[in-house]
Amino acid sequence: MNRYTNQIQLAAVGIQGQEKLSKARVLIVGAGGLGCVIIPYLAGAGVGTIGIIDGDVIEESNLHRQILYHEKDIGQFKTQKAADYLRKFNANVNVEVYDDFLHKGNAGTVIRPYDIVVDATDTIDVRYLINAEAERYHKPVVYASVYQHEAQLSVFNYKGGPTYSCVFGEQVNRAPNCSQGGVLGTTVGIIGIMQANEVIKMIVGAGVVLSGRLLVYNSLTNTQDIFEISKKEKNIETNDQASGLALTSCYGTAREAGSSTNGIIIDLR
Amino acid sequence: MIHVRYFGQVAEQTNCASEAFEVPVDGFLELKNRIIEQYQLDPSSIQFAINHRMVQTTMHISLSEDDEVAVLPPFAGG
Repeated sequence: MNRYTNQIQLAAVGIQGQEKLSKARVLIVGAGGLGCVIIPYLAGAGVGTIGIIDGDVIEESNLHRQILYHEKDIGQFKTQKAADYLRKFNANVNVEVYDDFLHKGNAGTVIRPYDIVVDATDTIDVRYLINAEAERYHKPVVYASVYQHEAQLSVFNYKGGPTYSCVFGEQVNRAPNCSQGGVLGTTVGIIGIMQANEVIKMIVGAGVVLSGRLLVYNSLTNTQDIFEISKKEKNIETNDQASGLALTSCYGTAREAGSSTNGIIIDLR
Repeated sequence: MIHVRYFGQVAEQTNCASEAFEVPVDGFLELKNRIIEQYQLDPSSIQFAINHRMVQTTMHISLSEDDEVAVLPPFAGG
């Protein structure tokens, strides 16, 4: 018997699946409402290495949905408190934290060492940046986003499948985030757990990954819709210089937190 | 009739989650333009699905009785 016995006994997981989980490296971009449920469920399942990047500090208005944080944590980095939680919760999990926002200067360096990227951000510009870098380094992206009582979920760039741009185009659009639109903690929690579930499915090779499909869930009506997505072919040059130029033009408004492109990893453990 | 469904902040702009339109003679593009014009939507920040399949917003697609068109904006919260 060990802490994973009850999931190892599932045919979909088994000892082999558990070994895959223990070797997996998953990056969570954003330690907010989504991140706060994804992180403990992945750690609970025994994901070997969990990276967390977020430059934000905890505010009182976060506490209703960002359930890893306590009142006394206000003003501290979300990454540090999430890492503290993980070390107590499951000592077998390696935690790598980056006290910074994902931006053009650090995105490639941060994303590259991971197998799967989880988009738990609240900013569309960063979403396009994740999308571009994940495509460049061939990483699947487990995407979710919330507007009031509705949430979207999909797995992008999975085995060459459609990306966020295939759904919403190359243009950087504007949309309200949780503090602008308002949100219930339960809606974010439900969809965050669904993200964690897709990550686990991908790692152990179980079920049907939500690639090429966009799920829209409504927490007021308990309805969900799944929309089929087609891959859009793009005219993007593949050499690094051209990609860099494309990034500059398409994603030039991505948040430039920390102007230096060096020394972006404040705390890596 | 065509069943049109609105998601996210689009539903706020239209003030309803769904409504019915007459089958447009010129198909999807006619309906799309009508919805955009009627509710003053920003065409660059919405996408459309017909019968649960996302479509390119510039494509000529004929619509038939009882087809469902969904209007989907991007979300940002997390």
